[in-house]
Amino acid sequence: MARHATRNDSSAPPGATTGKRWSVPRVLAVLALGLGTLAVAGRPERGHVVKLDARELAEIVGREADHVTPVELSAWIGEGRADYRLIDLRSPEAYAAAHIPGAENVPLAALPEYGLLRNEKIVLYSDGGIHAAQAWMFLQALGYAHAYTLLGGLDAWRASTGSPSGQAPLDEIAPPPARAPSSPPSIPPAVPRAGSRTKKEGC
Amino acid sequence: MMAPLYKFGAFGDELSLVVAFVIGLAFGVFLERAGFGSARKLAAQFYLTDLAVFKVMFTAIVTAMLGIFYLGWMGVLDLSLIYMTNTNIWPQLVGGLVLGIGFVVGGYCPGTSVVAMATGRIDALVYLAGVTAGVFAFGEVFSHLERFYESGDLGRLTLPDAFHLPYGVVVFLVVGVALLGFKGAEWVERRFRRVEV
Repeated sequence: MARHATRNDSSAPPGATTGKRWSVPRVLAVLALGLGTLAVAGRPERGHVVKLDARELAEIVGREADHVTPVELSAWIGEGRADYRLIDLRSPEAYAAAHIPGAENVPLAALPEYGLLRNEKIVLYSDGGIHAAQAWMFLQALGYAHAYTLLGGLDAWRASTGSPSGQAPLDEIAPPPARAPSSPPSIPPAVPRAGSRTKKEGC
Repeated sequence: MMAPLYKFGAFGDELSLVVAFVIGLAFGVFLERAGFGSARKLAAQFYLTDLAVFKVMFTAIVTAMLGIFYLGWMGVLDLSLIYMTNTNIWPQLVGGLVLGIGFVVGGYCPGTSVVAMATGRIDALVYLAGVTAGVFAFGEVFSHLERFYESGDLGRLTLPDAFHLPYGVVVFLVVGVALLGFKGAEWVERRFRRVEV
């Protein structure tokens, strides 16, 4: 008759030590428990409180690697490139009135939670450039290394279109004619016209 | 921040296939070395006599979870760029049930059946034939199942989201559950395993 026995039958005398005190599984278990306990204090996602490396940001600005020009952006639009996201930081009303082709409207306050990805190329614009510069600063601080501003903002884009009225079409603003990067478009000084709405000081 | 490597352009599509091949090769080797090329060992999981599958897989989960958490905390890995499939709760419950039944009846899951076939097991070949037939059959009737297939969409749902707990607390709890689970698995194995003398 076969005798069944439990697997943990031990041939060692009672009271004898069996196995090492610190076996590999036990060490790994202690390590995992330690890391798990330490994890309670951790935050793997970036929160809204960030650190700025001023020297790094100054170096980026000094290299002029913080912006794209209207000429460059118009070339991308003309080529049909889809490897960037164009963000319009103005109000929904201003966006609805006119915006650069392909732009997404994201007011400044909503930008951190919008769902931009850190491996995307992001081009930010506002009317003049101040809000775009602010948005660029905190996107850089949040780890968005491929964020850029549109140099001169929408004002520079409008000036580059050569529109005689300086006013944009209702739906979208046409891209400026592509020129060689060595000859950036000249931006004439603003001349107020009778009856035209006062141009808001660019933000 | 430099990871996920592919998402940050460290390598392109062609090299990503090579990387996938190497990772798959290593995965197959480790599964085979863990004994998961044997239907007998895999099915023993469900008879509670050998819970190696539970222990190995949960160990892998804890290792990956801690690695991802700490790499994200160090700023090396961007968690928002890691691919995650959506949670469609109803079809995934039904699919899990079907997979479980197939696992205990056939003795393999799809991945381990490939490992077993690579080691020359005929039953694994038959199992894979069944898997392939099932895939084609599903494709043929998908139009009738599509509505159910897309039902219960909860989006990209994680445990911290589901339980409204901080990520780190969930990590601690999962580690705790794993360690208790390993201890419990050993007790269950001793309870249910019989050795004929």
